[in-house]
Amino acid sequence: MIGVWAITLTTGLSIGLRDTLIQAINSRPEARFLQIYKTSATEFAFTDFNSIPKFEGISEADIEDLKADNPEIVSALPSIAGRFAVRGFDTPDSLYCNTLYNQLGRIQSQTTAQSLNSAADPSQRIDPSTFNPEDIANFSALQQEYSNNCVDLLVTRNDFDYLYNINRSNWYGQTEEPTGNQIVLCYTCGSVQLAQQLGVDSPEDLLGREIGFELIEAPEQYVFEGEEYDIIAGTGRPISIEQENVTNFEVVAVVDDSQPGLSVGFSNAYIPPDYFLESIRAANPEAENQEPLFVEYSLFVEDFSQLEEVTDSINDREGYLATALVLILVSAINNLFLGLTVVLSMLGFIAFVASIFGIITVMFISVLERKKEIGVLKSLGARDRDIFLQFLFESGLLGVVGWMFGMLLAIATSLLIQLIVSIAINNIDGLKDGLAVLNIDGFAPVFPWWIYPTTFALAVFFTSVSGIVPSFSAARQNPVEVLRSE
Amino acid sequence: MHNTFDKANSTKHSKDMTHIIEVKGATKVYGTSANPINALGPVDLGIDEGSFTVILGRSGSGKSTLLNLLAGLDKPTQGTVHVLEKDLSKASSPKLAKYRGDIGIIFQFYNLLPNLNVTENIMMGQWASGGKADKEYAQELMKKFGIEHRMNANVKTLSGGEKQRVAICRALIGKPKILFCDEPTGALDSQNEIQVKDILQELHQEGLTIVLVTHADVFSDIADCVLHMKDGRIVENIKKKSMSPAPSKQPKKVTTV
Repeated sequence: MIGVWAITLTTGLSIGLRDTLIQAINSRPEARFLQIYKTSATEFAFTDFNSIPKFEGISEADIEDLKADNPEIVSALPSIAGRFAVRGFDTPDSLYCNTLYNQLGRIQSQTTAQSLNSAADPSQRIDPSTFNPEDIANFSALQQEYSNNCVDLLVTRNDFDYLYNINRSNWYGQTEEPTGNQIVLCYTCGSVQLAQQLGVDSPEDLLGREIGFELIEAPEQYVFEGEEYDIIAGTGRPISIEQENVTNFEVVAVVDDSQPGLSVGFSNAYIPPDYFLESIRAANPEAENQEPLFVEYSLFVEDFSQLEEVTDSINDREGYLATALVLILVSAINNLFLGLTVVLSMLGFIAFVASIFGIITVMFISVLERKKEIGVLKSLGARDRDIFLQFLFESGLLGVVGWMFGMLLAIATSLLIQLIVSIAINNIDGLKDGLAVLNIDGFAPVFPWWIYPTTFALAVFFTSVSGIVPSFSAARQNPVEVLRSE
Repeated sequence: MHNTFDKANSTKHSKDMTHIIEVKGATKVYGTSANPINALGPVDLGIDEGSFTVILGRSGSGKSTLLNLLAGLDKPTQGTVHVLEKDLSKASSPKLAKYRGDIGIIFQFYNLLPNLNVTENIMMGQWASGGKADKEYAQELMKKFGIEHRMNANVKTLSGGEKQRVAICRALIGKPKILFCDEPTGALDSQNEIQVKDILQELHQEGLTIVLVTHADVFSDIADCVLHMKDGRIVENIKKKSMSPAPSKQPKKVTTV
């Protein structure tokens, strides 16, 4: 019974969680995406940061090509990452923030590499002589300097609805999608006290302000030496940085990210993509091809179930890399619950094995108590086989009853979990609204159809096997003695 | 020497087709080979079809052991037991079980199944051997033996006499040719004893072969044949004039050890 309960419930829980997760993912179109890159490097090792792949720009024609091969792709958005120095900050020059950022990135790569040096396989380790000790020593000072003077704006997804939905409760200003040079801005933008530096006390104070941003330069590791590009935007090869690429934006809405919310998104600001592209074209008037290429594209599919297939299909293409974050997330969660299911199912299995001894005892007692009955049935013409089968049937019946109770218990526990989750959702501030965005209004373990026959077969099998020896003993009873006694 | 006599007697009986039961040199030894306990025999016996045989003897005389052999509940250590033209001493366990389903048997302590009602207990006589129970015949039997009004009663609520009548119905439901009775009135008062005796006499008159084991000499007056047993042997075999319409038998000589 306990075995049936444990196995059923853990299976139900892990499948329920997976279903809920997939339901949440499917509820958000922007979550069903995979990121693609184009690169000439076919393989690279994370331990060797000189081998970090050099990305190439992806054109719209490339995307059309991919779409033709994978009709599951419903839309494609180029990713635009912004790293901005705020004009008016006391910055030494226009390259200041970007230079600082690249420096930090390099040191971080080194410290990451250092931590990798503890790898068991010596070939995986990195030669520490490549580290710059001075840089490492200065790391926290540089970090402080960066956070005091620069602002990271991430507008990678460029999906206004998504940004609005997940920040609905912390939203100030207009709720319509910005156009032209309008911007939706984060209040604190993570660690940097943008508001503080701009001298505002509340999110509302930011509304209507005009702010100049300098457009990005790509991190230098993405740049092929000696190669020439037209325009690659996003995290790719820079637009010309000799120019003062300061773009003016008007703040029309503010996301108060100082408040706890569901900031599970990838963006904390929104810039109309067209305006952004216009700006970088304007900043690169000498470029021959004014159609920009992008380092990263996000491809969206209709349903979660299509993600894996499309990701695999694009990865199979020469020169493409594709990753789907949610797939990694779901598989990580699946693995976590698989581990839990295995452990609890093993407990369930142990309960099954332990039940063997219980059943054997019960059946032997039953045989002793019913010696008389066995004798009578035999005297009336019952064969040994009949007696054996009857007792075996009865021990199997114990399995059926145990299965029924175990299943009822599992269903009852499932209802209890459902109730507790529902109470929690309704009583914890903000949780209900937050989950509603993900189309989640509760949680219930899901029992797949096969769990019923599987546990039923297990229960009946174990009790029947346990019943074999006692049933055999019942069949071998000599009727003579018991028939003569009162 | 009794052996010579018995052998001659047996040979003659084996040719007599009216012998429904034929026992030759049957013994039953319990215990280990180092310490054998001779419970029975050797015994030779022939019982006619339609006869009423009473086996008399004290406790430990081997009478119940003999009945167990005849009823297929046990097998002889040596010798043969032929009943209904079957060699029980060589029969396999399933064949013996089938044989037990073909005969009827009643016990001193009734051996009814306490979880079943009267009708179910009776029909168990056929169910146990894998047969389909004849409910109409069960009702007929209950009516015949005056327990029809208790047909749905729990057997725990019945009196001893009623219980034994249920047991008789159960033994008869399969329409057996032979009814074996092991001390059928041993647990009954005199009034019920008479009732059971009347029933058995009636059944005998209807042509049923009855073999009855008892330590009390209460059935001798209605029996065709009375066997006395002592120390595992038949010490006396009294053949009386048949009271049944069964085929007539030759008078038997007294067998002594």
